[in-house]
Formats: sequence, structure tokens, C-alpha cells
Amino acid sequence: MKTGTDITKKLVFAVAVAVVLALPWMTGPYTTQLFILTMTYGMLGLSFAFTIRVGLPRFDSAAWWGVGAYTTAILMTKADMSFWLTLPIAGIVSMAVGFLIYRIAIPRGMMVFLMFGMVIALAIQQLFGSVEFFGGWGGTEVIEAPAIGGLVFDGKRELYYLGLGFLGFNLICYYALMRSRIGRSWNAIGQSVKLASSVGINVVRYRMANVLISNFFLALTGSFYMAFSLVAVPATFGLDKSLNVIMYVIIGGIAYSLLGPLVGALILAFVPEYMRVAAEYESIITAVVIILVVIFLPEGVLGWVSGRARPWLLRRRPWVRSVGSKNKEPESG
Amino acid sequence: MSLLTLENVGKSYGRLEAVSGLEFSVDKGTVHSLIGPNGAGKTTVFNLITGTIRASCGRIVFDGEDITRLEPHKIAQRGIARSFQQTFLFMDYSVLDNVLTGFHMRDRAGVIREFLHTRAAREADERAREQALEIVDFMGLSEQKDELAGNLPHGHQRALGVSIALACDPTLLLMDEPVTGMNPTESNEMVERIRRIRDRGVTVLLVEHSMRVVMDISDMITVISYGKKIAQGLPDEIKHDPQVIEAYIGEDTDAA
Amino acid sequence: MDLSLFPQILLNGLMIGGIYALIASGFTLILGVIQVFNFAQGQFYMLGAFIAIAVVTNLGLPYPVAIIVALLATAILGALLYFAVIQWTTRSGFFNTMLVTVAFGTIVAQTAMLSFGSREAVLPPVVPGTLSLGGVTIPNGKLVVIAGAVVVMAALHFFMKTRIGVSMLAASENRDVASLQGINPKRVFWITMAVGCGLCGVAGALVAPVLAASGTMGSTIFIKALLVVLVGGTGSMSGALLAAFVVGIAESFAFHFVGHLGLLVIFVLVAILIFFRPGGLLGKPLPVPGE
Repeated sequence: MKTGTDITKKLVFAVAVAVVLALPWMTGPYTTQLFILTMTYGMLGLSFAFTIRVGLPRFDSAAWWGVGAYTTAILMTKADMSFWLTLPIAGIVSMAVGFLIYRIAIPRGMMVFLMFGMVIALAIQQLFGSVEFFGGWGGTEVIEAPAIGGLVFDGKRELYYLGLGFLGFNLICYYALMRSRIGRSWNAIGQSVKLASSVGINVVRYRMANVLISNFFLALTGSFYMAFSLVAVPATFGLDKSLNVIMYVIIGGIAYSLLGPLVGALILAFVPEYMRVAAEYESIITAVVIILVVIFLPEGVLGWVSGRARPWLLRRRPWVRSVGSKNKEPESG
Repeated sequence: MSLLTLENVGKSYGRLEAVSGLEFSVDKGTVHSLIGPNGAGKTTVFNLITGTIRASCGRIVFDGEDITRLEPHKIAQRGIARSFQQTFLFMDYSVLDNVLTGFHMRDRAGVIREFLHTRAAREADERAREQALEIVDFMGLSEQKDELAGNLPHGHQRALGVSIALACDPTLLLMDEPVTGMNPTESNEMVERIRRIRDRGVTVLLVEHSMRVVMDISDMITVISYGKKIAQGLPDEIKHDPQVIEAYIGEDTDAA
Repeated sequence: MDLSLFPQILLNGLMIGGIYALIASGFTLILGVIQVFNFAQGQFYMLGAFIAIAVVTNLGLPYPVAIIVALLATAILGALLYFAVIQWTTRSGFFNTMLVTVAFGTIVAQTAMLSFGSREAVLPPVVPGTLSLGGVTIPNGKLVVIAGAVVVMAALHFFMKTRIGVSMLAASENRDVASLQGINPKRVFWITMAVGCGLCGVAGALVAPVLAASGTMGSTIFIKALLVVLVGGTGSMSGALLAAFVVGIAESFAFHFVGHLGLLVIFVLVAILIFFRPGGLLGKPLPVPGE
């Protein structure tokens, strides 16, 4: 029985990989572009789902995404640096700036972190828009597509595979982190801050590490964004985009830290496209869908599917209690 | 020899004094009970000791070190573990995973190794798992080890709360009403386990409502009322202390 | 520095501060009592402005009536939000409830954009003309806004002393429903939502004759109200009140001296303030749901 399941599992996995690899050859450039966007948003969603594990919902993911995009853009245009070299720098810049800001917010708990996130989302956007160095509200352009040797990532197909590379790196790192004992401690914090610190977990430090790792990957995603959009405009990195990122995660299923954001991004990228919804009504419909999902499918699409599918297909991680309202202890007894 | 000493500890919220001028010490290797009528501030005392709330005045000394101003996780790292009054568990974890979380401080292979899942990390994981199984077994939960904590019956959740605390390898274990809501059989088993925990060399500080259990198990009892200590002594002395009896008049307890 | 502009800038600061005070105290009230992070708060502000404009220009009613209509309409909508959505989601956690308010805010904002278009609307000045005080010219319109904000804050102050107000405060200090002293908690909750959202509606109606209303006015002001809440100390009503005027005046001066960088300067100042005074200006600790 067990080997049978194993074989089916491997088979499903192999078919999925084959389909993903073959996709740009089966569809046109427009659809491929949609997939590239889906991967980008999926990666943003992964970073959100990662910090929600320690009970911190972040509303500034798009801002740090922008930090990555701008770091790459500025370094490529002003310092004439190669795209690949800007990647680690973008990550480090995002972590360093993040550290300075979150030193204030994280010790004060979830609520302040959350509000700080929204303020940061606006502040960073303002910074890009109103400081001349960053190119103002019109944004900054790069001319050069990334390349390795003779391979230039300028076509949709090449960019699709570049995106897969980024996404794969994200998934592998997040998976390894969540599987390790650090991951267990992170989950513990997410379930109950009080209980976690009572077993000796330094909540502030673990949360900081988690958020900074998330910052690193957000910036990487920003650099990748530059590779295919070739322009960074402040309006892209606003609070509304961060809210969209949260929608992906909720629709996919917040308890599924790896697959959830990807499924959510896929649904929100393609369903409106095929429903031919007028752009003005799209956000209203999304909002209604979110309300319905929260009330009727609190575990998202994957949660709903896994109630019907074979359990091994989906790996549900413990849901985060500390952003919920249970598990409270009265002050005195 | 005293392991934990509270010196003139007080906590006030505005004009309300939850705890004031509290002094007592807990001797090593004993089961020490803290009792008092409802709202006497027992849980507040626990919160003060574990650092969840900061004392307004006074000093708390543990094992010769002042821990009054330490953060909760640092206090836990010094060897004070706690089981909570309400069933306070990682509800979406299995029983075994709950206990494993308590191993946070022990036997780490190092962050990088854990990330890369090297052999050292896997072996450390394996050792932790074995020790966790031992604890689960000791608390009588081995049959439920793979069940989700949230699905356990109340008595087992209580036992699991204690298991997590034990996984921290504490020198001092604070237990907040460990037998509340248990039936007599479960309660007797818990009393027996608390004895065995003490015999393993863990000092126990206990808050409990059931007088039967307190009188049965305690080596020493401290009575507080309205945040102040009103008596301390051996179980027999406390039973006949007029002040204690007065404080409990009108209280609904199963005093035996 | 041109000293003659000083009173003007101060007045502007007081005016924005008054608006922040209304929005931030509504937010704090809802957060404290129902433990709901009402992300739609800014949209109620926008609605208030548009309702006031519609009442005056389309129905031809006097401005004070418009303020009352805006207050009632937003309060009713707030209560509706509670009954239709929030009461079903509070059980599934703080974050889910917050998301629902995000979605609700989006719906309101988009509907407004679709029906009013992206053009800006403004009411003609209610009390035209200026007031001359010791050589300083002050537009009457701004004074009306400040006076209005003060009146509403005073009304809120007295409301909190009534039976329902007291049980709202009790609920925010102790989550134990038993402490509501026999008052149905659901009733306390929906009234809180109505009051909190109504405060924003009034704020919107008050600024309608002074600032141009647009479909996007809600989002930015909400973030600034959050800044105020952070400065005042999360969960503290009096802190929010004080912080609102501090932030309003600081913002007014910053904009005058450094233009568009003003907002950034404020962010940095707030970050520094919070770093050194973690509890905000008044240093009151914050109640955090679920932690």
C-alpha cells in the first residue's frame, strides 16, 4: 500500500514538473507572460505565508519587492553592474534596511508590526517617488536584459525559465527552513507566543530572523521583476499590491505555506482573464470573493480540495493561532 | 536550601494592587503549594515568576540569580518551566510534536546544519524524538501520541501541558491547577506523577484549588489572600490555621 | 523663515489634526472594544465627504443637515458591516476579520470611483470670507472644521459617559463578556461599529467644503491615522487625541518646508519617537488580540 502511494505520488510529481516545463511551448507569448506574472506574485505570496508562520501578517511585501527592483535598477544603470551581481546586493539591502525598521516594530508585537507594515508600504513608495535619485514618479528603466554567456533572457520563454529558477530556489529554501527545527520553533510562535516563550524560545529574535529572510526573498523577487518588466515605477509597489498578495494566500489556503500562494496567484491571474471581467469591476469581484472565502472556505481552495482529495497530495501546516483569537489567558486567577 | 525566593514582590495596576509585599521561598526538591481564595493573585504570582508580567517592586531570586527583570524566554532558559491554567497547547500539533517543541533549548545541531538537514541534525532530531516519547510515556499519553492536541479530551490536554513543560528539562516546574476539571481517577494519577516528578529532582510549585490534592501532596503550603501572604506552613498547620479558615469562608471548595 | 505664514501653517495643522483625531479615535474605539482592525475606516471618511457634497449640491439642503445625514449614513453602514459580515468572522480570528474589512473597503472605494468618477468634487465654502486676527488672515472655512471637530469630540466624550458608553469602555478593558453588566454584548459591538464609522463620516463631511474630495482620499488618510495611533500608543483614546494634533501640526510644517519629502520626514520622526518611547506619547501599554 505504502509503495503504491509512493509511486503514485512520484508519478503525479513527474507529470506536474513535465507540464510546468513544457508550458511555454504549449501556449502563446501572452499566456506565458501571465504565467511569469503568476510566478512573481506567487513568490510574493510565499514570503507572506512565511512570516504568517510566526504570527506576523505583513502589509509591506510589495514595498520590499520594490526595494529589490530599485536596487537592481539603480545598480545596473548607475554602477553598470551585471544583473546577477545585483541579486545578493538587493537581498542584503532589503535585510539591512528591514533590520533597522523592524528593530522598532517586532518587539512590540503583532499589532504594531501590522500597522508599521502599512506605514512602511506608504513610506517606501513615497521615497521612490519623491527622491530624484530614484527617478521620481516616472520610475527608473534598465536597458539591458540579463544574460549568461550567449543566453539572453529577453524572450518570454527564456524569462519563464528564469522565473522557474527563482521560484524553485524560493520553494527549496522555504521548504528546508520549515522542515528544520527552526521551522518548528517558528510554528510554535505562530500558534502561541506565550507558550513558545515559556519553553525558552526568544520570540523577538526568531521573528526577526523570519521577517528578514522573507525580506531577502522579496527583494530577490523584485530583481526578477526587473528582468522582465525592465522598468520600476513607484505605483507598482504600493499598499494595494501588498493587499493583493494577501488575497493570493487567503484564496489558496493560508495553512498551505508552499502550494497555497501559488494556487491563489494562479486563480487570481487567470480566472478574471477568462471571465472577461471589466477591469473596473475586477477588484470589486475579488473583494466579494474574499469575503465569501473567509466566511465559507476559511482554509482556502486547497483546504476545500484536500477535504476531498487524498491526504498525501497536500501538506497542511498547523494554522497560526496567535493571529486568531483563541488561546487567551486571563490576567489573574 | 531555597531554590526560588520572592522578596517583597508587588504588582499593581493603577490603584489596584494585585500582589503586594509578597515574601516566600521554595526549597529545593519539594512540592510547594500556593493556595488562596479566588482572585487572590495566584496566577499573577506565576506570571511574575515566569516574567510574563513585570513586578512593580521587589526581587525574585532563582538559584542565586536575580531574575526579576529577565524576559520570559531567558527565565525559561534558566530552568523554570510552566504548565498553564487553561489548556494552553499547540492545538494543531500532534501530541508528540507538542512535546518536541519543548525541546527547543536542548541538543541543537546548529542552524546551518538544521537548514541543510545534515546527518548530525537528523541524529539530534532522532534523539529528541526518543526523549519526547519517554516523556509522553511517563505522562501516560503514549496511545495518543499522534493525535492532534486539539482533539484530546480535557484530562489528556492537561497532561500534555505538563509534558511540554517537562520537555524543557526544568529545575523548577510551576503547575497552575493541574487537576482542575479531572475526574478522581485522572486526578489521582496526576498526583502520583507530580510525586514522581519531584522524586526525579524537579522542584514543583503548585497552584491548585482542590484542597484534597493540596493537603495530600504538599511538603509546604503558602496561603495568599488579596495579593498578600497570610500563612505558611506544613499541611497540618495550614488546615487548622484560623486566618486561613476565615479567608476561605464562603468559598466553594472541596475542602476535605 | 517667513514668520507671517506661521499662524497659517499652525491653523492648517490644527485642522488636519482635528480630522485625524476623529478618524483615529474611531479606529481605536473599534479596535479596543470589538478587537477588529477596521481597515475600511478611511473609506467611511471618503463616503462622508461625498454624501455631504451630494446632499448640498443635489438635494439643495443646508450644510449642517448634510453633516447629520453623512453621520447617520456612515453610522448605519458601519452597523450594517457588523451585522452582515463581521459578526460571522470574529470567531475565525483577528486576521480574517481584518481581511473582510479590507475587502469591504475596496468595494466601497471602487463603487465610489465608478459612481463619482475620478474627478474631484468640492463644496462651495460654507462660511465664506476671512477673519482678521492681529494682522493674520484666517479663512473662516478652516475655523469651521476645527470647531466642528471639537464639538464632535466633546459629544463623543459625553457619549462615553452614558450607560452604553461605559459598557463599551468596560469591554475594551476586560474582554470578559460578563463585565458588560447585563448589556447584550452584540448591542455594544454594533453600536461601537456605528460610532466608530460615524466619526469618520463626520470627519469627511467636515472637510468637504475645504479639501477636494476624491475616490482615493480614504486610503492615504487611513495610513496617516495609523501613524497617529502609533504615536499615541495603540489602544489609548486620549493618546490618539493628543497625537492627532501633534502629527497634524508637524505634517503641516514639514510640508511647508520640504514639500513632498514632508511625509518621509514625518515617517522618520515617528519611527524615532516610537524607538525611544515604545508606548507612544502617553506610554500606555497596548492590548494585543491573540498574543
